[in-house]
Amino acid sequence: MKLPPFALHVPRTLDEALALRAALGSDAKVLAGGQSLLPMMRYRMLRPYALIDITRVESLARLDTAPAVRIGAAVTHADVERCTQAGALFDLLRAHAAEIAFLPVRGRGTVVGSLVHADPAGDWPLLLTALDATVELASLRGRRVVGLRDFIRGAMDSDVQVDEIALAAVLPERASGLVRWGRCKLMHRAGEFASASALALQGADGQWACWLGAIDPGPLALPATAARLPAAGGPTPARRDIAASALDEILAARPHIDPLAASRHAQAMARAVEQAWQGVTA
Amino acid sequence: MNITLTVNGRETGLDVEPSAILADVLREQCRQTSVHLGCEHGVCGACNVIVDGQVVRACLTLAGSVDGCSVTTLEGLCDATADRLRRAFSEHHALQCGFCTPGMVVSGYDIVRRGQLRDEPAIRQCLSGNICRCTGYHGIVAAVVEVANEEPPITEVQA
Amino acid sequence: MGESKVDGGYAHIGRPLVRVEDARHLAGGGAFVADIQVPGCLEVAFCRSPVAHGRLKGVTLPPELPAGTFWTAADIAGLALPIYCALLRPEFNGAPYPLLADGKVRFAGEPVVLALGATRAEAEERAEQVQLDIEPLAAVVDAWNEVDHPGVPLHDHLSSNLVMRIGRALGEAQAIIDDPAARGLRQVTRRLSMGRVLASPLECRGCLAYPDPAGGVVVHVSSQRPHLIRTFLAEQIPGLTEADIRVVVPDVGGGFGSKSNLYPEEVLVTALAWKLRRPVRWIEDRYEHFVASNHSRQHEQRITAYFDDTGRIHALDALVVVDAGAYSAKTSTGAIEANMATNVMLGPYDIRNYRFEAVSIHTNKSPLGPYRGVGRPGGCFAMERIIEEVARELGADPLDVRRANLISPAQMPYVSATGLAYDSGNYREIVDAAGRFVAENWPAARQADDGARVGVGYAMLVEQAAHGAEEWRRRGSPLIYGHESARATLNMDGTLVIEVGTLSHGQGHFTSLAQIAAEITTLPVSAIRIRQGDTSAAPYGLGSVASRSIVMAGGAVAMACRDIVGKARAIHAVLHETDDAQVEVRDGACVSPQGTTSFGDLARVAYVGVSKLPRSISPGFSFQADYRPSVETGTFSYTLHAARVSVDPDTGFVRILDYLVVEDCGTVVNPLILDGQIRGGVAQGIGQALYEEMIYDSNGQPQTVTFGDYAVPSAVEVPPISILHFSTPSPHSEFGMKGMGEGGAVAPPAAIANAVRDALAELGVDVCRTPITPDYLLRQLHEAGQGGAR
Repeated sequence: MKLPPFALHVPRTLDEALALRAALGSDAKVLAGGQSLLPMMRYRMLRPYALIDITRVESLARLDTAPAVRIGAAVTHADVERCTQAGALFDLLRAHAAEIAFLPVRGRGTVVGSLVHADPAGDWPLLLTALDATVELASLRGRRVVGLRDFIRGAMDSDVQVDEIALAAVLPERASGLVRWGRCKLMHRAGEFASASALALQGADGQWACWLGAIDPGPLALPATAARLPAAGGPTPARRDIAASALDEILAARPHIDPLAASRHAQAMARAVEQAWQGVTA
Repeated sequence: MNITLTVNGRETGLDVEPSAILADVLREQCRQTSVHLGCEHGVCGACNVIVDGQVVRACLTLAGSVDGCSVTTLEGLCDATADRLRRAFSEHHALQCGFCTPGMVVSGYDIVRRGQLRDEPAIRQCLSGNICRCTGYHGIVAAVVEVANEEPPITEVQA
Repeated sequence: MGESKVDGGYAHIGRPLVRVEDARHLAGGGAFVADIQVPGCLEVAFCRSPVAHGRLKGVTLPPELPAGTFWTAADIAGLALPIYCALLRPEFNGAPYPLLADGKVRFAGEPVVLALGATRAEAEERAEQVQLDIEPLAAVVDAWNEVDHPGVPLHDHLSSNLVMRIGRALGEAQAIIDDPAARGLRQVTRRLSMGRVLASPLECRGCLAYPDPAGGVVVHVSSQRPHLIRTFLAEQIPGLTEADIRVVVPDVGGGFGSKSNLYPEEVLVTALAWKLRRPVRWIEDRYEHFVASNHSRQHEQRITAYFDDTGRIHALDALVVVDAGAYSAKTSTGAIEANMATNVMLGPYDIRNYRFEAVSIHTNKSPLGPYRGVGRPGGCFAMERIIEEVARELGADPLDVRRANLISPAQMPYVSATGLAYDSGNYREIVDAAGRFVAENWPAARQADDGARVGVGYAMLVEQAAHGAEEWRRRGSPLIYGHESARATLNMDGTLVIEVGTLSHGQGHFTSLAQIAAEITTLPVSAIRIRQGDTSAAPYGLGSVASRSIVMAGGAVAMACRDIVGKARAIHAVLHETDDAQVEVRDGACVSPQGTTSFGDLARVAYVGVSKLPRSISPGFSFQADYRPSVETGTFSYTLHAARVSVDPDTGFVRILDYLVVEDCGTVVNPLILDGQIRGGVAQGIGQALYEEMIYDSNGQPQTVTFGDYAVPSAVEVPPISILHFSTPSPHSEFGMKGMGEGGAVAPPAAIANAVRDALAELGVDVCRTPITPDYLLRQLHEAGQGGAR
């Protein structure tokens, strides 16, 4: 299907972009990479009268890595995949980016766009929620910062006001202290959306965090499973045990979930923990 | 809206609809019909082109979004690497109907040019973004692996 | 005379020549139908039915658009006719296939209103403004259930949704089935399902028609059968005759059968171009392709094998129910798959006692059409799954059970219980080769390092191809595809142009047919041009389907080239005043003790030097040959596939670790092209086995309408494939060639299902369906009490 007609605005400064956003209101959508938005428009799931393309606003294309990681709204998955900073956190960011869809899609699709889109099947909501990122938003009324865990309200539902543009996703400084990580994205066919996706992260304080993605309505923490993981070294927890613990937690948190899906999520979690235990660090 | 694209090395002024898709503009106004439309939702890769050095889906890129950029299609791949890749494609029987071929060659060219992937599983993974329904991928992967593992030619002539 | 042999082989046949057609595509010079620009062209978009089944009470068009923007069934009545296709068998229930829905809609995606615009986007905008008043009816979506619990008939003049039902009990099948114990026989039964798939060539359909300045219309269409399409268009559009229509098929981006039938959209575009005296174009998009191109291979089966303790199968009982979609497409009809599956099911096995029932059911889905193998994947799935269950029941090696049942070379030529006349073959040879290869090369471990379970499975088949007139007549086909034609013209510069009636859409005919021509004429391949697709230039041909081209077109090319050579010799003999016996043909020239004359110079005499020709030799140098095979029951290539898979019982994920194809297709023209056909077919078979399913919900709503939902394999999903070649030439065809293009796609569902079954056998898990998705395996594991979900 061809795209329906619309007006296209390509601002070169943030001020221009914000002014457009305020003027056009709900008639317009912000266009970043377009890799989700344009197919939705082709299939007539969305019909905005105008698009505001923010990818030519230079200030939004910055990927800052110190003291904290700040991912501008126009930073693509490929930009993250190609970043050169050393350390466990950046290894994780690169690994996560590299498994998104296909290289040409990563060349246009953006990290922040994925957060605003808030598709439970998307990749960045999981990782950035687990890292406790915040989202910076701006409008003509001013700026605000929202925790990502509040920003994503549900499936396809994020807290962007009609006159706002999300400027960046920012990681807390403590994220740079990441010591160990493991991830597992289960895909039946290369490049497709995850049927299950899990993260296991150990911070500088030795505490573990376990998170699931690809689950309605949004990323799910598994604190009980995380609490069972020892702080210091030791034998790899048995896959079976992790999966059983995770399954219990998932069924308690999502009582209406399809049991097959729950089982698959639990398996992904167990594999993520295994990978973390194999010491995937910088 | 008026935009300027440098298409295969030639700076081109174009008057396009705001909703114009890069693939359609390349095919119809620039007559670069090697850009094929297989799905128009970003999965099949038949529309792959190189914009400012990055492989992208021309079917999911607005022409207005890439005003001022350089765009390279199969027709514009004329250097020694591209010719070497073409020869490898032919020798390895990497095409049957030819519809996926432009996108495949663009992807293969990008892999070779970036020089980071040399082993077959990694190249195969990178090519997973291009669908071929005819060949079963054997010749395509073999061709890209072969060229990716060769010493780069001493002189590269960019036509 | 003619054919040369070098080192016991041929000079050109058998050489792995790089394809002559590649350079153009690699340079970006492919010209598919969407690449053809015609100024002032009107673009077509359709308003398609949003519901699967309903009474079409009315159509409301937006008022402010010019007359002639929209076309409904009422508007085209008289301009173009509904399609009608039936088998010439009394059991067949035919129904018309409207070009635009008329009174009823019968599948979601059926075209209802055609909209024209200056651009496709504009046409789509217009089509979206059309409102349809449809009173929904219950949708028929379950063919198996429909047999005993019929729903609303789709076609008002038919009392049920039965397209066709045929069955027979051959040999002593009935007696054995009635009382197997009396013969000391055991039995094993399986209820099998194969999910709906579609060929999904990377290029969707498309049709561009415009008035020919010389009168009539030119039609560019992405189709596998140019001349038949021309004939059908003339039949469907009363105002046009075949003489008025020139079909020119451009490059076709894959077909695999899905571009062989006549489609309503093609008729409409042609009719409107002619009526409006304007170019009109319809370029299908992927959404349309999913909902409205031909679908294939949705089978429900119940198979029982009756066997003794040695593994010998004494009888087979097969019920096959195929979901045929809403209409019988022209020419395959809705009965093609069930009929073929039951016809070919016995494969390479010497089974004389066979009871079968083939049932084809109308449902509210896109119509059935052929897809690489057609009914063979279904037939192979049934036979090869059940034969490995026989082996499992006996605790026997599945290859040994196959050996116990194979037709032997001494029995060739062999007429199967269903009347298939196998021409030649040594089936035991490829079974043994496969067994040796697997034993020597594949690890025997049953468990992988990561805890996954490993299994091996096999599947074997015989592929009938290039069947001729008698076979089509037997099937009740109203059209007989019993021959093929080629016209060879020698030019004064020594180049040879051969127009063929087949339609290469990736199979490399431009090269392989040139190799055949080179073999016979001794001209270099570089001097030979194969041309196709233009009905005003190519002699009437029957296109490329059913793996017919190399035998049929190759036969016609060979005949025409022999005529070329014959005339060359004759002219040379006259010029040099010698006799034919003195003349040799070498390197594109005639050579005798009196001298050498190039073919080009001989042609020059025939065109502009006829003063040198006696009256007994006609001027000109062009021959049309019409090849009709002497034996019309077809050639029979055969192949055995083996798959080694790992199955993760915790996630249900299947990975193919190793894949083997052992094949025999007689004399091979181009080994590169042969391997390419095998590999491409296997990739498609893997898609059907593990990934692809065209899903409809219970209301007949299509659920899988993007490549995100309908997952055709990528390079990652196709494993390394080992191929072993054997060659048992056909005694009936030129050079002993056999058609083989489909076989690669036929065996993988069975081989992979057998492998997964083997991997999970210890867990008591059965594998009875395709695609073998992770969810399916997790459910099977759960049911076997082996975990999966809690």
